[in-house]
Amino acid sequence: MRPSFAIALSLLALAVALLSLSTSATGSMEPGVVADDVGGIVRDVDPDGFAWQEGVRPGQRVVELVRADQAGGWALETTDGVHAFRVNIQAAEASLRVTAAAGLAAVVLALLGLATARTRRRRAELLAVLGIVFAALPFAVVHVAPVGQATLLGAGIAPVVWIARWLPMRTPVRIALVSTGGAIAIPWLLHPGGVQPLGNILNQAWGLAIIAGTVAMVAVGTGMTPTRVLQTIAAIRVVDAAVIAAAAIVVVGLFVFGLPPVFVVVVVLLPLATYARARATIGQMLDRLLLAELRERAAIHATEEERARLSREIHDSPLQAIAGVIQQLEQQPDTSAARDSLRSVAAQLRTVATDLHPPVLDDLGLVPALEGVVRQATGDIEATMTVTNETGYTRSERPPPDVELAVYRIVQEALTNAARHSGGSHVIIEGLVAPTRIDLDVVDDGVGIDESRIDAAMRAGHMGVASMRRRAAAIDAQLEHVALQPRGTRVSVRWSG
Amino acid sequence: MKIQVLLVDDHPLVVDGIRAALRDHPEIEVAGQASSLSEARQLLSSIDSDVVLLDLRLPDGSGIDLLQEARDSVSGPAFLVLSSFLTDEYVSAAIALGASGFLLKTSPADEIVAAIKQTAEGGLAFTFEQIRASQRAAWAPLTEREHVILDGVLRGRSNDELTGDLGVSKKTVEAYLSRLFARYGVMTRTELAIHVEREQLLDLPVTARRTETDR
Repeated sequence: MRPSFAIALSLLALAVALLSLSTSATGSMEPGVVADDVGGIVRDVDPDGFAWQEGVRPGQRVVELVRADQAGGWALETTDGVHAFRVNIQAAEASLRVTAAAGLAAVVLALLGLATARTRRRRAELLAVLGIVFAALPFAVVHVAPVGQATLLGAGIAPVVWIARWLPMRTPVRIALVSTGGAIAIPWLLHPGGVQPLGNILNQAWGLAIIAGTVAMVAVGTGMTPTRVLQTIAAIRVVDAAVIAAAAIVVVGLFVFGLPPVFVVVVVLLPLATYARARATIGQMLDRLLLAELRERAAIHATEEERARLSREIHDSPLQAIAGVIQQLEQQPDTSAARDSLRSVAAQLRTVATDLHPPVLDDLGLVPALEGVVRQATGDIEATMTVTNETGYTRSERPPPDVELAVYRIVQEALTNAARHSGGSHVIIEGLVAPTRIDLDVVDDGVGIDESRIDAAMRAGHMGVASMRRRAAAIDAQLEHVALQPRGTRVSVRWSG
Repeated sequence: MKIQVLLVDDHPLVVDGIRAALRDHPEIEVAGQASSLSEARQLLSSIDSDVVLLDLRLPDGSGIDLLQEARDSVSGPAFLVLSSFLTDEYVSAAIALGASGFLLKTSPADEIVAAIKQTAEGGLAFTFEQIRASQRAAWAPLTEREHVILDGVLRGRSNDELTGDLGVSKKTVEAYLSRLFARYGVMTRTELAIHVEREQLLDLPVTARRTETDR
């Protein structure tokens, strides 16, 4: 199954959850109205009740009123002098059914999204988690058990698990984070009073602040230094932050201020309008923030395409022409010196073409290409390779070309770094290459380099490691630098198709 | 009887050059020429040739595919790879895929002619350095036949007995053996047997075997 399927599924879950959320404002079974009899006025309207959603406000004149214990159930018609407002229990019940069904569908889709996001898709998992959180909100309002309770529990724990999974931190911190989150979330949900209505969102925000504080204390107490936290925050992608911020705005708008469902559309349209008006300033900034990574990837891609094209061009034209001319000259006497010169030119062209884009990579695949790199490894470091090769020479028995090229460049860069910067004497490439899986380690015996030193190197302008990361991200592979004890560095690249 | 040669190359200058180089050798005849993978397949099925001069990079695919397809055929021509690039990895691949020789297109005409004659006889045209480098190809999975032959060598069966085991000609068995010698960089059956035993070649991982039968 292609990884993008999980993203699509999670996006769908999020959309359905938002749909469910937009109908849930009228999902309460309580009208939340205090009103006089016909002819009098509406005294008070609770924003949590379904009447508020339909535009019933204090001060409006009551035109018609059917009490809940009478036939047909509760119904109210009011007017503010210009418009009439009608609201009844049947509409609220219908809305409730839509909310519950859509919420349930969102939960199922989000769970499917989580289950299929098996190739370590950070974005897909985040979307699925958000889907669960959003799906939980309507259930929180209307108290639908037991799906609602389960979803709420998931909404409490899933983000914590997601954060623990994706932020670089030590295993004990991970465990502490998840267990703390679970320990707080479960009793909070199973409290005899049940879930507080979201009208008390400020109380819950206070509760969340307490959870966050506890988590922070546990994290710092078990060894996450403040620097590490800051680095971690800096590593959160702009897109992720934007999605979370938009979600927060929608939730606050819908539940705290009781804005109508159309508000969701406004939230989506507003930034677009702003963008058009303030294109010169904010536009450029947004563009840099959101598209810089994309553009860099495109630049890498374009560069590689161009290098491959040039390499092929050298192969197809001058190299062939020289070979042809040499064979023609073979028939003429006294051309031996000229032939030798031409052979030396051909050798130079071969070197240029290979440096641009190794022909072995296209013709034979990743493992032979890496063998070539290892064989030609120069400098003070000795390189060896022990890789289990489950690929063949033909295309169908190999990983996709873009994956082969990205992994080739990553390993090449790792070898270069080991030779130039590690100060070690030996580097080994080990692991496995299969058509749908690559699992390679480049291990040297020099100075240990871990992720934090890599971050520092990137900030200092070391473009090599930055491009390794981008290449890994472009093929959805995992790249990791680990400092070994007592010495050495392991660079791991893992990919699965 | 002239040696029948097929040229598989899509660059006219190279084809003209090779034809010119072969013109002085009446014992060699260019029986056909293909400039793509599909043309080459057609030619191979319609013309009985002794040697195929094969370029690896063709407009509609890789010469590697052709070697792969021809790898298990009992009879058929010898493949002499004539490439623009020559590294240990290319030679390893060529040997693993059963080619009989590997030359650069810029090689002296004498070498090309000598290689054609040698491979037409069922021999190999790899240099000593190439064979040494080819030991890197040891990870490439064995074919079913290669496996049977190695097993036979280990149990001391003669070429005649192997001919009976496999139901192929004696010349084919000899060709297989010389390929295996080249692949593992050995000169005699005894050396091959020692190598097979020491490297446990007959106990290759299951995955490698499966890859082989999938082909």
